[in-house]
Parts: sequence; structure tokens; C-alpha cells
Amino acid sequence: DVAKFRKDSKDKLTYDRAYLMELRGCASSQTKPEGLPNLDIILDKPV
Amino acid sequence: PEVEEERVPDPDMVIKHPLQNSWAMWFFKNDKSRDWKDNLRVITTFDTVEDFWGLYNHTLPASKLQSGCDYSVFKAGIQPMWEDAQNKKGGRWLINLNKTQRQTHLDDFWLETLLCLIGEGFDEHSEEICGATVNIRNKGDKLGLWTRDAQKTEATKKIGIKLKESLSVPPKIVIGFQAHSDTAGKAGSTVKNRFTV
Repeated sequence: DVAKFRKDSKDKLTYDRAYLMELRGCASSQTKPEGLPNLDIILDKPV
Repeated sequence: PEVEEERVPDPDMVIKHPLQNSWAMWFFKNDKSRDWKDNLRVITTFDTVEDFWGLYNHTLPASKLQSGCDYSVFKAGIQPMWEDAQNKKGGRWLINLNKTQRQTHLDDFWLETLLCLIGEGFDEHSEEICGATVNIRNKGDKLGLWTRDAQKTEATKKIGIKLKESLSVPPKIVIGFQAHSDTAGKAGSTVKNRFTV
């Protein structure tokens, strides 16, 4: 799967709200990042 | 007939969507026994859409933070304080929320702001953006969008208009932009707005 992104005239990577929201559901977006500090604001399960 | 098995791709093997900038998320907790700077720490940095969501989905929503806490998301290399060389000449668009809005609006406002940041939603003015902060306070929560140069009138106004639009702030509510140089050292007193939209 090739990442779908668009570059504007100045070659900037931009993403609109709808596309960002669409990506929220994919498996990598549900994965807890590694190496997060041990703080009570960090959750084990996705919200 | 051949049935194709549905394969679940290994998340690490899928190409993630790269962001234009690398961002750091910061957390501030008000612990009066320690120095202000020691209470501020980086949670992590991210530079893909998926890593942003992974982090967002595994941190407490802003509305659930204790009073006195802040979240900040800034471009990597910029500290979320006005003293940072890249903030010094800048300022912030400020949105004040009342007590009931913590439950009804705060989390949405914060997420919409973050999506504008990481997606470069301020178009040609995205380079003027330094980051954003949400302050959880008993006397009223605040959301600030920080820009680099308070002298850039046109860019600053356009950023404010876009912010207001993205957050669906009703037209009758006016939001203001304050220069950090006007805010610095004036805790509690009223700071004048350089611009409003």
C-alpha cells in the first residue's frame, strides 16, 4: 500500500481533516507508541 | 472456488503517512515543590499520521486532566515557552473556555487544532506556526495557537480566521491575538489584543 498524500505547489505534505480522520481507524493508529514515559496520563488501551 | 484468506497486515510493515514536520508532545503538571521547567516534559515526538493517532489514542483527553496541567504540541526543536528563540517575537491566538465548555467543547477544539497543525492546514502560512497549548485551569481553560512573528499582520490574521473556522467558533464570539512580549511578566493582568477575528 503506497501512502496516499498530496504535495501542494510548494512541495509541502498536507492532509485535510477528512483524510486524517479516516486514518484514525487503521491498525497502526491504534498501536501504543513505544517508549512513552510512565505517567498517569498515558493509557494502555486506546480511547 | 478458491477463497482468499484475509490477511491482517503487520502494522510495522505498512507504510505510514509522513508529516511535513516532526512534532513533540509535552505535558506540564503543576507541582509547586519543583521548578516550573522541571514540571514540563516531552512525552514523545512523532512524524507520521499514524504515530500521531497512536499517541493521541493513548493519552488522557485534555478535559480529564487535573487543574494546573497543560498539553502542548510544538514543532520539534521549539520549546513550549515564550522564552524560546523561535517564540520570542511571536504570539498566540487565544480561546478562553468557561466551565461548561470543558465538557462540551475542549476536547473537540484541541483535536481540531492538532489536525490543523499536523496536516499543515494553515496553507501558505503554516511556516508561521510554532505549536499549540491547552491549559486546564479552575478559573477557565485556555487554548492557544502559537505563531512565530507577531509583526506579520496578514499571515497572523489569516491563521486566526482559519482557526476560528476549523473549530466552528460562532461568528459572534471574538478571539484575540496577543504578542508574547505583551504577555511576558504580566500574569493576571489584562493583556491587550493585537488583532481580533
